[in-house]
Amino acid sequence: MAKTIFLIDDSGAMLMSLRDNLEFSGFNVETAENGVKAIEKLMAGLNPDLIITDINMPNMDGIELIKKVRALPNFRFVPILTLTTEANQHKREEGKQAGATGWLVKPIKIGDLLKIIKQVLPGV
Amino acid sequence: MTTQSQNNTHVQRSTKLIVFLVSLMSVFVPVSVVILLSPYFEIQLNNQKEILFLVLAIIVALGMQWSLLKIIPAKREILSPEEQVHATNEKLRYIFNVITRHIENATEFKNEGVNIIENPTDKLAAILVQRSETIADSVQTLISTLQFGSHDTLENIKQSLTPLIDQTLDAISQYLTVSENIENHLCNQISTTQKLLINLRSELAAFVLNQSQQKTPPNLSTGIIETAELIDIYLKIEEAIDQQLAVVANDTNEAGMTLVTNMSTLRDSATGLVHYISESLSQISGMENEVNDCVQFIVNTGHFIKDIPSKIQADIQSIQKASSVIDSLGYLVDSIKDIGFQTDILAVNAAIQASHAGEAGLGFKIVADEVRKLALNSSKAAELIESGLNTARQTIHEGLKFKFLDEIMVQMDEAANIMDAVKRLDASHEDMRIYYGMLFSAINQNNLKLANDISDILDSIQYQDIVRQRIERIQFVMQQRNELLQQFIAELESSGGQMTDDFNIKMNTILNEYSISESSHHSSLSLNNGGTQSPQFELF
Repeated sequence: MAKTIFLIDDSGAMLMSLRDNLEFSGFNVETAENGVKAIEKLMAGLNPDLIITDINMPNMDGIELIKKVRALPNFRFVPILTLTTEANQHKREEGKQAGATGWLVKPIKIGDLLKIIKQVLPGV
Repeated sequence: MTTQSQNNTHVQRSTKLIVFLVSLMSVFVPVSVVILLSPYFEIQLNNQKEILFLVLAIIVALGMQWSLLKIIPAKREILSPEEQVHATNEKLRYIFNVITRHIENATEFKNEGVNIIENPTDKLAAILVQRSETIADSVQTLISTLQFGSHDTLENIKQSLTPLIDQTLDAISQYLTVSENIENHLCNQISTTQKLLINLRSELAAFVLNQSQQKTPPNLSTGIIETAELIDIYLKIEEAIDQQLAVVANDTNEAGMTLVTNMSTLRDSATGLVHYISESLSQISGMENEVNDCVQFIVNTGHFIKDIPSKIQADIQSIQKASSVIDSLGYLVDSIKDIGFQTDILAVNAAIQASHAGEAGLGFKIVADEVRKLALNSSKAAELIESGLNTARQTIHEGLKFKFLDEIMVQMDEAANIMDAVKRLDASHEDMRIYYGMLFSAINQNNLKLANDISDILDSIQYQDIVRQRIERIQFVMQQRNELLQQFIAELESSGGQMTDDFNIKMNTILNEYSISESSHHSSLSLNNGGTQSPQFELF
């Protein structure tokens, strides 16, 4: 059965680009434009196998989103990858403390992203 | 007027008085000496000459006074504090007007930038993704269709793929035009800002120098220096922004080049695929013709074989008809024979009667003899006809037998030909099966290549998000800086130079936070900001 990936980014271009590439690679893809809508979707019953989120977003940034997701009982162990332009070590550490599984820096080639997804998602 | 002002006026009047007296003395003293000492030097002066001398002296004195007053610099005048504040405020107001214009231009750039940069590239990115999806779907359909080997569908797909590629090229071309506009806009903005910076710095330097040459009150001097420092930090922030704008311009250029390269590769792959399909279609067409020929031959032969029984049946019916006609002729011959026999008997009777009639029956005897001959000939004719009919019957039967054999031989030959045709057909099908297998494999490889090319293009679109975020950070810092500057201007004007808040520290904080923020984000696509480059990805 195809795995489901949940993408969260305020950039329409990023969402389209990633969704297209991931669906072509055989994944189901769900998207949200910001952290607030992402939490709403998760609480409404969405059960992704992997979450990929941007950091710099309006209303709720990625770090806060990761903390909130980890606080939900069903999503304590779901892999969460960040995909962001933030490259400094301090921010990475913040993400790690919040509960991120990995830190990815934009721009990323689809080939590299798929390798990482294989590492974090068993059975892919 | 205040005391200070009265003193200033007093000073002005006393200066003029002194100058007047000096000039008067410098003229009248020598003239008076000449007049008084004229008798001793035997100089004859009458009243007219003395009056003339006095008039000349007054004129010269006035002229000297005027000249002296002109030479003394007017700047030696000392202004009152209010006049000083007013003059300073005028100058400050001039500089602030220049900066306000700059802020307005920057705001306009911000608004224009959003329209130029964000909206069209978002729309075009959507179009690009949609086109890429359509191309990918088309090729997927192609792969599925090949499994059924439909010639028409291949042709349709070939015809639809080329315009799809062309439309995607158009979308890319528009995207690149927008990118070029962004680049040009940014380069113009940077160039304009740099000129403005140079002008501002010159004016500021000149203004500060000018102020230092005047004896301004201390609080005004502090206010001016603070203003100068603040504006200097403001301009440093501007320079930091310009650096990032240069990065944006460079990223836009790099991403545009990458897109063009990727699209060229995609076009080459797709063109190769279309060309390959065209070649394959003509080869498949040849193979299909051969298969069709075989099939047609088998069909025709089948029809022929199917028709043979009915043909034979028709022949048999014709022959049976002929036989029944012959048989009916046989009955006719029997009738003729009967008639001949009866006629002979009649003739014999007639001859007997004629002999009984004597000479009167001689004529009748002759007739009877003739009739008898006639009967004999009729019998002979009937026999001949019967013989002929028998021969005909025999011939027909014999001929039918051989004809039937001929038909069988033909059937057997045709059967042998059909077997050959079926074997050829089978071989053609095998060839086609192998050929379609190769075609499927080749197109599958091409499809994978196309998929990779499309992925590369989709990856390139990510730069748009990176640039957008950089522009947003620039907009944020410009807003912070402009708000602080406007607060500063308001306070400076109301306080007359006695500032209570430390605006320089706040402006420096904005500059430092912006610099740290930029260094923490991923550097340009190709430029290295210096410092440690963090890894592209890291699993915790």
